[in-house]
Amino acid sequence: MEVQEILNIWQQASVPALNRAGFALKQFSGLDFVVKESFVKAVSIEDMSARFTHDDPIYAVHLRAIGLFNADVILVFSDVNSQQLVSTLMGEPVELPLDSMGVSALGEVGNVVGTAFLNVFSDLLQNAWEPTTPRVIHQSTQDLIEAISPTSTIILSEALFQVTNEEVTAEIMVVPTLPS
Amino acid sequence: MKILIADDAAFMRMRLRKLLEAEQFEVIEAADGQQAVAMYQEQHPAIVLMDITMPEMDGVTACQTICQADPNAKVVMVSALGQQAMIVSAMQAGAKDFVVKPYEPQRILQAVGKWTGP
Repeated sequence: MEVQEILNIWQQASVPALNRAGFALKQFSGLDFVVKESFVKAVSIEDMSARFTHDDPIYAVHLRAIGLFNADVILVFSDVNSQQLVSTLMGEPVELPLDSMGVSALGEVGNVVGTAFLNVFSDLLQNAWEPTTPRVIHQSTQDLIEAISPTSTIILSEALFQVTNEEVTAEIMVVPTLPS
Repeated sequence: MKILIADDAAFMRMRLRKLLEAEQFEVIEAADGQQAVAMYQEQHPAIVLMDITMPEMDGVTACQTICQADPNAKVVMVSALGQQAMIVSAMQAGAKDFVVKPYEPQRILQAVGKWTGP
């Protein structure tokens, strides 16, 4: 697929796909998540990296999408929000750092939400777009960004999800790989 | 009645196990497609609930392998990959139904009930 073609599709489908991802998060978690903001923009590798230089610990779930074209999907939660989300999913309080079952639950959140995003593009273009199995990362997302963003400018689709009247948030970032 | 859950996510296997055991089903688990094929051949479960994105062997290939060996196999796909192209692939591989994650528990019980009912 040519660069211009990818950009046109990306511009057209990203926001509906982010909304679908937000709805999947709400359905899967049982928490009343709403999409607070969503946008598509070009950012520099420096800006992208700065977003991941958090002072507080975070959990990130990474999927690589393969098919229509390659892309990286990253879902980011603060430590506290991960704990709250996983506690809700497990039906009981969980401790930090998350144990293997907690990590599995968070990975499945990433799988369900990230794949909901991909499904919108797939149905639009009538072609399968599959994710890899999710990889849960704790505190070392800088390496991840450097690995997925070798170019100086990145096309980014991003949304912030928030539970109504609560401080529970999640952030999704999707970065397509543009042919050189 | 025995049901095989094939999903690489331990959390999803636990969730499905709780739901099905509460309905008096016996549950066995596989963590990838290859294991699912081996367990099906050994234990002949009444139904397989099969994820798609799994290591070693994906769920569509596992479904096809099981259904080629046993044309009466009842495989229900349970996956977030609710893409039209993927649903068609799964049905062509022999799947009887396709449940898209996230799902309501009732949707799983309905899919299971359809193939285990009187």
